[in-house]
Amino acid sequence: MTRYVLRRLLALVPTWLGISLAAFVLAGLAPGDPAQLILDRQFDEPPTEAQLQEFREANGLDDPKAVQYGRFVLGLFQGQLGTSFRSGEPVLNELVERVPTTLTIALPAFALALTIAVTIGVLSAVRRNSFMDHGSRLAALMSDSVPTFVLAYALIIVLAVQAGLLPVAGRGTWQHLVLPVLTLALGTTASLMRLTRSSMLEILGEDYVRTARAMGFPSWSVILRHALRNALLPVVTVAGIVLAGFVTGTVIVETIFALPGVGTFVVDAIFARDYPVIQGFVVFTGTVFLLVNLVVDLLQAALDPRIRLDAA
Amino acid sequence: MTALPAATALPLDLPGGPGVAQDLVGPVHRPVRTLLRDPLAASGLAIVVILGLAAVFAPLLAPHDPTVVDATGRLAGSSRDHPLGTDELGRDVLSRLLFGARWSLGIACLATAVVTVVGIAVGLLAGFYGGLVDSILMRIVDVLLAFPPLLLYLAVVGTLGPGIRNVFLALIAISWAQYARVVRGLVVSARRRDYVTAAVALGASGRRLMLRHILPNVVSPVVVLASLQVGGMILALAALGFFGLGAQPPTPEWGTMINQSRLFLQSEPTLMAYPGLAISLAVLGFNLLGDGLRDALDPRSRKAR
Amino acid sequence: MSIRPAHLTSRRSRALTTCLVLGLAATACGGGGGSSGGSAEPAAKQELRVGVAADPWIDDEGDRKRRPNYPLNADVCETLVRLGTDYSLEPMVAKSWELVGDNTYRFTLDKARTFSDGSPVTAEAVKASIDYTVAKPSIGFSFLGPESAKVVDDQTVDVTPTKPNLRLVEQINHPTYAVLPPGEDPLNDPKPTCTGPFQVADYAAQQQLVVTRNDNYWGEKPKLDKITFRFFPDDATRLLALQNGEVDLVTDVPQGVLSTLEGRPGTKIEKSPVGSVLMAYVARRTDAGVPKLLDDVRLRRAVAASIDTKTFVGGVLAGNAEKVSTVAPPAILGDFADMVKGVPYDKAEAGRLLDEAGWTRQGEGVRTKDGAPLEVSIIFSRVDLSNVEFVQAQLRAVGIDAKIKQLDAGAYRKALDTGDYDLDISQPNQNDANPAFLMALRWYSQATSKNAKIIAPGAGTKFDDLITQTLSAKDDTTLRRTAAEAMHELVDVEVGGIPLSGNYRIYAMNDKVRGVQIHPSGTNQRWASAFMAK
Repeated sequence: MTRYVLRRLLALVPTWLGISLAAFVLAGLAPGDPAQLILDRQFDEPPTEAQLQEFREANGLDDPKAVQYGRFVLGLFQGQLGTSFRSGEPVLNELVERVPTTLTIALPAFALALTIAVTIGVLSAVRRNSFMDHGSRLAALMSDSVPTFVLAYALIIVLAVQAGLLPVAGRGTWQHLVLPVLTLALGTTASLMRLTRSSMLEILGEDYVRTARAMGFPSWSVILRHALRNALLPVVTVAGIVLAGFVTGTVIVETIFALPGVGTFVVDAIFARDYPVIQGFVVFTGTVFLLVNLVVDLLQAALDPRIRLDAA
Repeated sequence: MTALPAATALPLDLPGGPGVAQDLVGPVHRPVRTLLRDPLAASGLAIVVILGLAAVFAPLLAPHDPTVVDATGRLAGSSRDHPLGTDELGRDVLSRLLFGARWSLGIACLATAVVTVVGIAVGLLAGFYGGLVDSILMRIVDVLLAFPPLLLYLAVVGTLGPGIRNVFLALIAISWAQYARVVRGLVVSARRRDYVTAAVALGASGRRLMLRHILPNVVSPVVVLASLQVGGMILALAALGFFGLGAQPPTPEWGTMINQSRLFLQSEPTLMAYPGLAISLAVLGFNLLGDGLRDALDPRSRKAR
Repeated sequence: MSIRPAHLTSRRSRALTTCLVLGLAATACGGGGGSSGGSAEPAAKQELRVGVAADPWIDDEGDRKRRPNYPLNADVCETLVRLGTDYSLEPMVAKSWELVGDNTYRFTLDKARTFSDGSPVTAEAVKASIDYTVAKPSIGFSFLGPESAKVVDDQTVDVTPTKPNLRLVEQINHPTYAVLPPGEDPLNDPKPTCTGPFQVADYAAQQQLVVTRNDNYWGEKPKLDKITFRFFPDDATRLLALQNGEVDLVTDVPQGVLSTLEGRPGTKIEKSPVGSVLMAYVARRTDAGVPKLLDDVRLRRAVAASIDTKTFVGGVLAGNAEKVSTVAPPAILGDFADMVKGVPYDKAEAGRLLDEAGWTRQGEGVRTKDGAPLEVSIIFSRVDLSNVEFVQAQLRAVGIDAKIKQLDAGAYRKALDTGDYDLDISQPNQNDANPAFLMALRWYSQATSKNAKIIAPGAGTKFDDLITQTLSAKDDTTLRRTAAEAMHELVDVEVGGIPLSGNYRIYAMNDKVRGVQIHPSGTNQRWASAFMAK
C-alpha cells in the first residue's frame, strides 16, 4: 500500500506542474505590461518610465520566461501565491480567509446530497421498476434541468419571502445556511443518485451477489455488506470531484446569497483583471482537485484491493 | 448543474463514464424503435423536436419583433396582443422566448457538435497511438478537468470579452476534454479486443484500423454523451447570461432574459419563470433523449432496467 | 438643515404638510423624511439595518478608498466644510473660512468640535489630514501639495494650493479630505478615529460594517444607537431582504423596479433631489489621437437628436427621474441652468444630419456610406441594462446600428483608457459644490485621466478656456455663470455629452424608518436625524 501511495503521489507531479504552468501562462496572456498594470493602481499619475524600469528590475520581470516560471514554482513551494493588485494583500491570506465561508455551505451540502443520493439510489436499484424507482428517476432528471440561479430564487421566494421561514441572504445564524445548502445539494443529488442506482444495479447483477442471495444470506445484509461497498466505487470518484468543486467555490450560490466565499472572491478578481489572484486561484483549485483525486484513489484502493494489484 | 465541476456534467452512468466498465458497446440493435418504445425517451424526443421547430420557425410564429421597444407598454400582463406579457422595455415576451430558442439551442447544439468532433479526434489520437502523445494529451485533459468549468468559462470570457462568439469559443475550449477522456478509454479497450488484435496481425494499416474497427465502437457512447451534453451547454450558456457575459442585447437569449428579470422577481415572477421554464424544458428534453439513447444503444443497460 | 424646495415628491410633500400641521418638533420636520402621526417618537432600542450593494472596499475598479466614509456613506468621518442637499456650503469641522490673499484659504476651528475619543480637533490634526490626503488617496483636482497646509495657531489653518485654485472650498467637502487625528491611516485602519456622529464598531469584509453612536459627538446627537450596513452584491436579493424584513432600508434602488415596490404595505420610497445625470459620453478619438466616427459633430448631434428623453424618463424610468439638459444636477448652476438647452429630440433632424454626413439609408435599414454600415458601440457601467437598450433601440430607429458591449469592470476601464467605444453611458454623481467639477474631471484638457484625451473638446476650445476660468472665478455668480456657459458649449455646441435623465437617489424602506434625509450626492449621506418609530 505504501508503494501504491508513493506511486500515486509521483504521478501527480506532472499534472501539478501543468497546472502551475497554466497559471503562469494565463497571467502572461494578460494584455499590457504587468509593471504598468500594477503601478497604475498605486499612483494617481501614470508611472514614469524610470519607475516602471525600477519595478521591473525589483521583480525580475525582464528575466527570461523560463527563469520567471522557475521562480514562480519555487515561490509556490514556499506558499507564495502572489499579491493582489487591488488589496495589496498576499493572495494566499485572502484565500484562506474565504475558505471557511465556502466550507460552511459546501460540507453540509455535500453530506446532504450524498446521504439522499445513496439512500434513494440504493432503494431504487433494489426496488427496481417500482413506483419509487420511476419517480426518483423523473425527479432526478427534472432537478438536473433547472439552472442553479432559478432554483435559488425559487427557494428564496417560496421559503423566505412567502413562508417567512428563513432569511433571504447573508450570514450569521444557522438559518442563513439553509437556503444556500439546499440549493447546492439539490443541484447535485440527482446525478449522484442516478450513478448510485446504475452502479448498484450492475453489482446486484453480478454472479457473486446472486450466489450469496441464492445461498440464503439475508437480502439486506448482502446488499449492504457486499453490493453497496462495491457499488460505491464509482460514486466515491464522482463525489470527490463534486466536493472539490464545492470547496473551490460555488460562484452563483455565493453571489445570490451574499456569502463572501472563494467563488465570489475569484469572480470579482476575474472581472477586475486582478491577475495575481486569478493565477493564485488556479494553482489553489488545481491543487485541491489533485489532492481530492488522490484521496479518492486511495479510498478506492482501500475499498477494492484489485485496484492496487491492477496498477502494479 | 452549472456550478459543478466538469466531470459531473458527464452522464454519470454512461458506459465509459468514470469508474464504469468500458467495453459495453456492441452492435446497434434497432435503436430507433427501442427509443420510441420508452415513453420518457419518446417525450424527450418530442420536446427537442418541438423546441427545435419553434426555433426554426420563430419568425413565423412570433407575434412581434423581439427587439422592438415600447417604453410606455412595459411590464404588461398577458393580453391578446402579448400572450405572455411584456418585459421591462415593453418587448413581447413570447416573441423573445421564440427567438431566444434560436440562440440558446443553436449555440448549445453547435458547440456540442464541434466539441464532439474535437474530443473524438483527440481521444482517438491519444488512445490509438499511446505513449508520449497519449501522456501529453491526457495531462492537458487532466489540467482542464481540474477546475470547476463555470469558473473556467468566466475566466475565458472575461479575458476575451463578452458576446456570443467568445462564449462559444469558451464552451469549446474547455468542454472537449471530457470527450477526449471518454473516447480514449473506449479506444484503449477496443484495441484490446480480439478482432482488432487480429486485424493488426493481418497487417491492417493504422488509419484503416482506426476508421474501420475502432471508430464504430466509439460512436454510440459519444452520441449518448453528446445528447446529454447539449443540456449542460444550455445551462452553461444560461449561467454566463446570468453574469451578463452571454448574448449581447438586444439579442433575446434565455439566460440573459432571466438575468434581466431578476429585479422583478417578486412583482412579475413570470418574467423569470418563462425563460426559466424554457431552459429547464430544453435541458430535460435532451436529458431524457440522452437517457433513452443510452438504453437503446446499450443492450446491457436496457436489460438492467 | 435645509428643506429641499422643488424636488419634493408628492408623498414627501404630504408627509411634510402633515408634519407642519401637527406642529411637531422642528427637528422631526427638518428631517424631511416621512415623519407623520403620533408614532414619530423614537423607539427604545434604536437600530437601523441598511442593505447596500457590494462591499465598496473590495472594489472592482482597483481604487483604494478611504474608509469608512467613502464610498459608503457611514457618517463616521467629517470634512472641514460640508455640502448641503442644495449643493451649498455649510460649516462642519471648520467654524468658518475666508480667502486671505490671492490663493490661500484660512479655516477657523472650534474647540468644541472633538474626535470620538473626546480630544479636540487641532490645527495640527487638520494639517496632518491634508498632508495624508496629499500623500495617500487620490486627490482629484484640488492642486494641493505637501506644503499646502500651514498651522497658523491652534485653531487656525491656512491652505494654499500649488496652483491658483479658488474652488478649493467647494472641493474639500469631498470625504477624501476627512479630518483625522495625526497618525491615523484609514486606508489601512478599518476603525479610524474621526469626528462624525457614528464610529465603527465592526467591519467584516463583504459582509457588514457596523457603526455605533459617538457619544462624544460635538453636534446634534444621533438618534440611532447603531447602524448595520449589510452588503448584498445581488440587486434582487437586496430588495427581497427588505421585503423579508432583514434590513430596514435599501439604498440606490433602480428606477425601473420602483413601481413594483410602491404601494406595498409597510414599504415606502423616498427620493433625494436630482444628484446625478445619466448621460452618454461621446468618444471622439482613440488614445493615439486618431479621430473616430463621432469626431464629426453632425453625427454627435444626430445621436443626441435621435434619443427621446421624454419617453425615456416617463416610460423606461416610469417617471422616477427628471428630464434635464445639463450634465450635472441643474441646481448646481443656480439661476444659470437655463443657459444649457440640450439637443432637442428630432428624428427628422437626426436623419437630415446623417444624410448630410453621407450616411444614407434605403427604407428602414442601417445607414451606409461607401458600402460600410453605420455602427457605433456602446459601453456602460453601473447603469441598468434596460436604459442602455432603450438608447440602442432609439439609434436603430434612425438607422444607426448600435452594438452594446457588456463589459466587466476591468474591460470597461480598459475601453475608457483606449477609446475602444463610441458612447459610454454612465451616471456620475455631483459630489462637491463646484459646478464645473465634472466637466473639469472628465472633459478638461488638463484632466489627468487617460479618458479625457478621448472625449475632451481639446485645449484652445471655448469650452476649455471657460473651464480654466472657473478655477479663478472669485464669486459665486461668476462661477455659476461661467460653468453654465462651459456646459452650454459642451452640450449644445460640442455635443460632447448627451444628458439622458436627471436621477434621484432612491431609498426604499420599512415605514418605521423616519427622519432619513437623502442627500443627492453620492458621498454626503448623514444618518444622525434618522430614527425608528415604535
